[in-house]
Amino acid sequence: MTVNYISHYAAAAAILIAGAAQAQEAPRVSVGNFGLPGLVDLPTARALPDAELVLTQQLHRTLERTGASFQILPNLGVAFRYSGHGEGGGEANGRLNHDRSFDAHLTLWREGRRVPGVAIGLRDFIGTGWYSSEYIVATKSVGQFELTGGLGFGRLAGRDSFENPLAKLSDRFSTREANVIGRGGTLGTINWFQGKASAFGGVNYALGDRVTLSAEYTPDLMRREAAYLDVSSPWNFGASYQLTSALRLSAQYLHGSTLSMAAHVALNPKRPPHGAGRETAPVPMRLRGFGAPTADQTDEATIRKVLAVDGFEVIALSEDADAIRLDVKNTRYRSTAQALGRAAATLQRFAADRVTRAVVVFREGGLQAASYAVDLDRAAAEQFGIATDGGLPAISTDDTETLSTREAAGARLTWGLSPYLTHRLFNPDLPLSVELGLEARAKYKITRNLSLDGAVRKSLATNLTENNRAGHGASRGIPTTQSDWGLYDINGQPGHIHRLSLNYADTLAPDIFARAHAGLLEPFWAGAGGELLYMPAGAPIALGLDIHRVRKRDYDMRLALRDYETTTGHVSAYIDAGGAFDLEVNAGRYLAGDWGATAKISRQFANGWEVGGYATLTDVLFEDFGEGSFDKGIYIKIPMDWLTGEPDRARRYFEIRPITKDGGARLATARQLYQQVRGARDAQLRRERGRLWK
Amino acid sequence: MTRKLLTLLAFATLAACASDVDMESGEVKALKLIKKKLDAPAGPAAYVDARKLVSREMIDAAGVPVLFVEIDRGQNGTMTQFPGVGVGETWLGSDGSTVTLERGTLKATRGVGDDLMGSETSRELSWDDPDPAPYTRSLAHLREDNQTQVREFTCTLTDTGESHTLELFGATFTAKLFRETCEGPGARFTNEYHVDASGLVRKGRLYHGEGIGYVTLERLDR
Repeated sequence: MTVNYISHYAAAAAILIAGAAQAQEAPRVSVGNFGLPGLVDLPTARALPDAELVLTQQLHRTLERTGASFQILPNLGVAFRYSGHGEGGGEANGRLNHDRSFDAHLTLWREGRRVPGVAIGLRDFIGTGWYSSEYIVATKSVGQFELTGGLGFGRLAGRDSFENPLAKLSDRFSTREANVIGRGGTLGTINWFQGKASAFGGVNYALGDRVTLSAEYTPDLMRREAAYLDVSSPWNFGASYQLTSALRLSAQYLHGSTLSMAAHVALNPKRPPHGAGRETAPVPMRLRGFGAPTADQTDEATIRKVLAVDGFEVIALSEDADAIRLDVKNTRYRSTAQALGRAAATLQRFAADRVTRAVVVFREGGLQAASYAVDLDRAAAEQFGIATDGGLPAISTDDTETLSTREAAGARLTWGLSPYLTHRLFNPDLPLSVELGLEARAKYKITRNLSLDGAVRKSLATNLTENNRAGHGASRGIPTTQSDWGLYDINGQPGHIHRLSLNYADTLAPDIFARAHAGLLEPFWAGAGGELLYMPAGAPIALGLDIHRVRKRDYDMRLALRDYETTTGHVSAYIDAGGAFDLEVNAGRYLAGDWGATAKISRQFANGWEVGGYATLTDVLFEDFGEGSFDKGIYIKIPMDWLTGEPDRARRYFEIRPITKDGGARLATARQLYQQVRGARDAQLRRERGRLWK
Repeated sequence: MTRKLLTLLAFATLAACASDVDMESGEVKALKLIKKKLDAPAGPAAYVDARKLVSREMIDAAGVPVLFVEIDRGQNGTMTQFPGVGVGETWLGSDGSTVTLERGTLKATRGVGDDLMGSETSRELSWDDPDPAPYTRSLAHLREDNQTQVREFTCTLTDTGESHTLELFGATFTAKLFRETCEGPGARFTNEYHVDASGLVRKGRLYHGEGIGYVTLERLDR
């Protein structure tokens, strides 16, 4: 299970609103009920636009299907969905069962003038295999018609099936091996494209810009649904309407018996609703030399004023013969490139003529996150430059000395009071449960590096307590680490300490960061520990080490602790070359005492979007882990400035973690340094170099 | 349950407060964002028309250079010259946007959204005796992936020979019309420059890019 926040819904709603109003038109690709290019239930060979994110909701009398799809690469799309099947059952909304499934859709080649596009796909290839099937499909456009034909395997080889033509290539395709599901969550039996095949086909017809009519002939006999679904026809029909650039609504008539509705919301990091964003202009740089007026003295007071107006907290400003050093906390710009350019422009304008070099040091929570040297003369020439080499000649990373910042911070006590909304997903009895409450937060900075930080929460309205499975579902043979989350939900109702810890963070050397903390670290765990991060400037790799001694908190989440105590720690490698994909690997000991590793891969977008997934394999056997076999999840980070078009450092975080068991459990607060500093480092700077002088 | 939840959420959000922006929760930020979107008027944005607010008397009384700027979708305003000597001549609007000109041609904009990050020509344009030979104009814009996209256009500058009278906010100016015609990847545009006897571009209709379209500039001070 996963806990998320109202802000996720709110941000999603905002995206819809923003998208409806201003998003650039997306190339239209009809999306089917499985969230990938399709007719109704069947696939087409189309590909979604690169990086397209589609949320799908389908509803009919015996089905509710919620899904999310993402076009990871221009030719590879993936989909995740959670479906409730049947009626008159004992699970939520009378469903007989709920099922998670994953699909992949690979475009082999795109449609040409004479040749159709061709794609292959796997449906429900991880998990229990409810929809287990594969396809090879071709699609060709003829005028307003989009014609599709294909071969289905597995579940898509039910009606009028015939010998598998792939058997001519290899005998292994002749007979389909039975699915061995185990505890789900794994690839299971690799029986892809095996066994009998059936033909399928259909057509999409574009009736104007907004309406698409669809008809398909499906070989799926719907045997799994036969007990509650009347399947009297192989034909499915649909009509969909593009209500806004982001939202598409569909009405369908399925299996000759059933009316169905579906909605698709399409977003794309590459289609910002507000273009490049709008902010006040940076300070124009001044002309030096060429007869322009001279400046003998640096105007420090104006520099401080301008930077403050531009959202920078000036921590230190010092000058020597020909260089000026500025230590700042950037509170406004998510893009470090943009922040650097604006700070440099201010220094260039108001520093004395003799100052030709600036060192801008970005500080984050007591850390010297990154420092850059700026050639001020070159910067002035580059600000309206037309350089096409992709370089940043005026900018270089700088291993400047760490400045002692152990002095007291400016504002010592900060606080906040606001609502919180958490939800949990994927409980078959309660697929979506929600809690609203009030959270009070306070932070007392003892020095810039040392602070006491805490939050208390009180639930106001909740149905998290209606969880009949609370305390059940522990992994076998290992200590309970997090599968008892339901007991925390219930016992924390009277009010609880969400976190309360003493935190220290420091930069030991220009590229070496350290952090230590102790107290009630997070809702389930108390203890002490720390981490180290070595992140050489300009290098694509960073290395980390973290270790904690922790004890499980009592279910009421006040001061009492439970008996279980353990040591957890990992060595980590982070790879970010400034390209499209990031990789993170953590190897070590997890909270249940199990040993293993977590791999996380994420696609990074230059505008701050991040879409990723992770999986943890430890020495806990799949059958002992329980349902899902091992810990895994997918997540999205959406920057607020992308949503609003205005500078904002915040990013909203959505995570889908299908199963929460005890194996592979990690301390959520164990590793924070990398996330804290990476946005300021040069890999991200290069990703967003176009914003430098914006 | 849902109604109770929403009511409570509304009250709780109204009661939300924080001593600084760092302590503002994600929930409150997101709800503020939604409120802002819902509060925004539907349909095209309405703009204050500077033509109705600014008079010739006000311009003359100001005694400083004033630039009127208007984009094709109707948004307009006046700008004053940013003090000091910069790279080009930078004008500052009351909304914090800037327009930078170089000898009356559009060099760059900032703070207008789809900013023109830079513009260069392969040779300096002359209003005195324009060279009829083609030259290149490069326009740089920010792409959606936050990289700079530079496009090169082949241009020619023509002196139309038309000397005419311009009326700008009640004052008349005599100017000659020059046309700069450019063609390049995915776009073809024509810039118009109305240049007075001193070589000052009194009025221009200049191509900014796909996002903004054309920008009209009028130099109002006498």
